Amino acid sequence: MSWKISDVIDFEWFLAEDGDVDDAALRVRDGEIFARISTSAAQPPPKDRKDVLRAWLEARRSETSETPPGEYFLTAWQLLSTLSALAGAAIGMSVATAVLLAYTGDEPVNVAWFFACTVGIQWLILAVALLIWLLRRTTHLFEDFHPLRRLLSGLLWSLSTALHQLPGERRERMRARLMSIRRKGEIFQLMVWPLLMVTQIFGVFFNVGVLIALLLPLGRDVAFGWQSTLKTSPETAYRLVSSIAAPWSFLPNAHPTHDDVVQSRFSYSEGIKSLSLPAMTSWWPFLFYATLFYGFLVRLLLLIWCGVSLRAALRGFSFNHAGHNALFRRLTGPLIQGRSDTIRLEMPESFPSIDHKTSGSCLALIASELEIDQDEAESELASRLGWQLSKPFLSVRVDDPGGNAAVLDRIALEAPSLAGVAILIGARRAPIRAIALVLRKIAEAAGANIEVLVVLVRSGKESPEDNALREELSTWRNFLAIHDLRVGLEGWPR
Amino acid sequence: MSETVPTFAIVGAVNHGKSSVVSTLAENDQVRISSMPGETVACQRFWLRDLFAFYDTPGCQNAIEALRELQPAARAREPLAVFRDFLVRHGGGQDFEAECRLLEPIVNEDAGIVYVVDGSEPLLEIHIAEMEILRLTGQPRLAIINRTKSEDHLEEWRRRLGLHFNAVREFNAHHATFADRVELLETLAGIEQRWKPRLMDAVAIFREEWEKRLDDCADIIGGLLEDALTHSETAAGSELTSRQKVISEKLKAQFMRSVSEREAQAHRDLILLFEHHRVKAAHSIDHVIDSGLFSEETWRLFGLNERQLVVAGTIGGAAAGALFDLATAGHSIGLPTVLGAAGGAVGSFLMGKKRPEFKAKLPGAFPFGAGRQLQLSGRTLSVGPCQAVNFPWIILDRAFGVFCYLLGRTHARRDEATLGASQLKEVLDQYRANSAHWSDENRKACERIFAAIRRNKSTAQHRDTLRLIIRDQLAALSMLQPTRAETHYASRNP
Repeated sequence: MSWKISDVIDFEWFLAEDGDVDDAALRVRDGEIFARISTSAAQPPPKDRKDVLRAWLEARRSETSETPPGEYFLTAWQLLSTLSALAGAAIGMSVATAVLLAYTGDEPVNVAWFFACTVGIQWLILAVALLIWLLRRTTHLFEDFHPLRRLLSGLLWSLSTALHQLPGERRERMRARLMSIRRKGEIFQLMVWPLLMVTQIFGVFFNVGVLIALLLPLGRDVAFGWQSTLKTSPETAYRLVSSIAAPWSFLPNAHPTHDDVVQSRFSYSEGIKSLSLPAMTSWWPFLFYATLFYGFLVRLLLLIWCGVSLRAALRGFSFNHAGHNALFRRLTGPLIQGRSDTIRLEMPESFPSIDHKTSGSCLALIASELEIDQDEAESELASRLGWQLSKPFLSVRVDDPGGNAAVLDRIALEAPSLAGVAILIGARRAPIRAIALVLRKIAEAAGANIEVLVVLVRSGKESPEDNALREELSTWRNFLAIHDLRVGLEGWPR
Repeated sequence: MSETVPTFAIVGAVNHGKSSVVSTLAENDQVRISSMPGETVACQRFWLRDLFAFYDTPGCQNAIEALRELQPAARAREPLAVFRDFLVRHGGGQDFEAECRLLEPIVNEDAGIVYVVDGSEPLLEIHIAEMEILRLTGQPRLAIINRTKSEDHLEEWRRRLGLHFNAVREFNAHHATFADRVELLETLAGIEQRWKPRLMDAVAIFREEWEKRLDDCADIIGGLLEDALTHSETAAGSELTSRQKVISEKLKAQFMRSVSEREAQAHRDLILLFEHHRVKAAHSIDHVIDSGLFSEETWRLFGLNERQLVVAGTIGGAAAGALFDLATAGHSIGLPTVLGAAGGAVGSFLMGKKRPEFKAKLPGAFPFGAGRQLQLSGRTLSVGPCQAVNFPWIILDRAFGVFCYLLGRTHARRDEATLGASQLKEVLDQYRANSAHWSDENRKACERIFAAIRRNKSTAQHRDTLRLIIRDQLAALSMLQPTRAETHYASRNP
C-alpha cells in the first residue's frame, strides 16, 4: 500500500487525537483493530510495519464521521497550485507583453532586455536561492529566513481549514493540531516538497505565459534587435547566441545567422531604419526556443524533480517516531499473549461466631510438622482460653483427609468430657482444601456441642513481621468461612 | 505428546510462587497472585505464537488423598489413562477440583510439567505427594526452586526434587533478568528433545524482541529529546504592559507544564514497553517547579557535572562567537569567539546546575525572526525552547533512571510504585547510568545533535546517530545487575 501526503497528515492527525485518550483504552481499541485487519477477508493481511500502520489508518478513517484533515490539505494544495498556475501565466504574459509593448516602431525591442526580463530573472532567483542554501549549509546564516516558504505554508494550512467553512471552535482546534503536526521534524521536511511544487508550478506557467505572449500577433509582429554599451563585436555576439542555442541547434531557425546578427545591431540614435527586416525577425524563433528550453523546460524538470522527491520522501518516511512505535506495539500486542478464565470464589459477608466456654478440658492436637515447646504453648493457651490442655499434644496430619483415624477415634471417645478441641498449625501453612476436610472430620468427630479451635502458631524462628500473623489470621478466617466450617481461630503468640 | 505446540503446566504447592514465575516468563504483572489460597481455581493460558504455550495452574489442594487414588498409575501400562479416569470421576466435584484443573493440560494437551517450589519453605509430606503424582504422569518434568524468604531449605528440596524431575534449577522470580528468563526457556528446551526446535525459535524471538525493545526505548527517549528541545509556547501579546506581564507568566507556566507532560508521556511509554502496569511515572502537573522536571532538586541531581557543563558552555559560546567572526569575514579578529567562549564558560559554571528562569520574548526582527513576525495576529509572545546546556542531559538522565528501574523490577512484584526524582536518582546511581559517566566522544556527538535539533535542522541521520548512542548505552546497562553495575560500567567507560 502506497502512502500519499494526505495519508501521512491523517495518520499524524489520528495519532495526535490519541494523545488525549487513556493508554488502557488505546490498547484495547488498537488490539481490536489489529485483530480485525489481520483476519479481514476483504484484503490480504498486512505484510510489514508500514502496511500495518496503513491498515490502521484506514480502520480509523472508517470509524470517524468527521472528514480528516488530509482531504482539507489536498483541496488547499490543489487550490494553491491552481492559483499559482493562473498567477504565473498572468504574470508571465504581463511581463512579456510589457516588454513587447515598448516597441513603438522607432527602434527594435532589445533581445537582451527581453531575455533578461523573462528567462534571466528566473535564473537570478534560482542563483540567489542556491546561494542562500549554500550559506545555510556552510555557515548557518539565514537559517530562519524562509519568508516565501512561511508565507506559502501559512496560506496552505490556513486554507486547509478555511476552505471547508468549519465552525469556529473546530477550525481553531484543527488549526492548532495541524500546526503541531507541521512542527514535527520529519513531517516538516516532507512538507517542503508540496511548497516547492507550488513555486515550480508558478514558474512553469510563468514561462507558458511568456510563450503565449510571443505566439500572439503582437509578439510575432515585433522587430527584435540588439545593442550593447560594451564594445561587443557582432562576432562575439554571434558566438554567444549560437552557444546559448546549442540545446536546440537541431531545430529549424535555431538562432540568427552571423549576417542576421550583424544586420540587426542597432543604436538608439539611428533607430530601426538601417536594419534588415529578415535579420530582425530571425530573433523571434531564438527567443521562443530560449524561453522554452531555459525557462519552461527547466521549471518543468524542477517540478518533476519535486514530485519525484515527494514520492521518494513518502516512500522513505520512516514511521519510526516514538508515537509510531508505540502505536505499532499497541497493535501487535505483547510477545506472549495471555487468556484468563479465572473464577473468583464468593467471600461470605459475615463470619459464623463460635460460643466459647471459658473453662473445661481441651484435647490439643498439633500438626505433625510443627515443632514447638509444648509446655510453653500449654501454659500460654490455658491462661488465654481458660482451658486445661491435654499433654502431650496429639500429632495430626492436617493435610491428609484420609488419615488420622486414631486421632479421630480419640476425639469421639473423649468428646463428652471436653470443652473444646484445639489444633495447633504453623501460621505459614497455606490453608488448603485438604486441611478443610481434616477440620471438618475433626468437627464431626467432636460433635456439635464441642468448640473446635485452630491456633495458628508463628514460631520464634520465623521472621517477626508486625502484620504477618494478622494477615495470616485474616486469610484463615476467610478460608474457614469459604468452606463453611464452624471452627474458631486464634493466633499464638498474639 | 503434542507434535505441534510444546505446552507446559506450571504447577506447585499453594503460595510457592507459581504465578511469580509465570508473571516473569510472560512479562505480565497482572497474572493473579492471591493472598487467599484457593481463591482462584481456573487455569490461565499463555502462548507465544505457535511456538509454545504454558498454563498457570491452581496450587495443589489435596495431594495426599489424590496420590492414593493415582497410585495405580505406577503399575499401569498407560499411566495417563489412570489420570484420565481420575478426571472423569472427580471432574465436577469439589474435593479434587484444583487437582483436576492442574492435571487437565497434562492429560489432555500432553503438557510438560514445570514444578515450582519455594526453597525457603520446609519440605512437607504433601509436597512429596505432589512430586510423586507428577512423576506418575511420566511427562517431561522440570523443577524450579524459587526463594521468597531468607530461610533456607534448599538442600533438602534439591535432594528430593532430584529424585522426581528430569532437571532442577534455581530461579528467583523477584530478581530475574532477561537473561534468566531466556535461560529458563533454554532449560525447558533441554528436557524434551522434540520440543527443542520450537523452543529455540522462541528463544531467538525473545532475544529479537529484547533487541527491538532496546530500539524502541532509544526511539522513545530520542523522540522525547527532540520534542523537549524544540518545544515553545506562543500567544498573542498585548499593547498593555500589565496585560503583557500576565500573558508572559501564563505562557511560562504553560511551557513548563507542556514539556513536563511530554516527559511523563515518554516515561509512561517506557513503562508500558516493559508491560509494567503497577508502575506510574511521577507527574505532578501542578507542581512542576516544586517536584518535577523543572524543580531545583532535579536540576541539581541530574545531568552533566560542573566541569562538563563548563566545557560544553565554552564550546557553545565559542561556536556562537565564531559565527559572528565569520559574518564579519574575520574583521573582528576573533574577539567574538574568545568572548563567546569565556561567557559560555562563566555562564555554565554559575548557572549550569540551576533551574533556568524562562522569559517570554518577542521574536527578533527581520531577517532572523522574519517568519515569526509574519503572524497576522500582531506581536506574538513566545517562551522556549529551553536553551540551557544541561536541559537535554537532565531529560536523558531521568529517562535512563526510568529504564534502569524497569530493568531491575520483575513482573512478579505486586507493589505499586511511582517514580519520583529521588527514586530515579537512586537507581541511576546504582547502575552508574548518569550521562556524566558517558564517554567524551558520545557526549560531544550528542551535543552536536542537540544543537542541530535546537535549530530545527536535525536530519534523519542525526536522529539515527542519537538513537544509536542511546541504544548502545541502554544495551550496556541491560547487561548489568544494579549491585555489580559499578565495576562493569566503569570498565566500559574508563
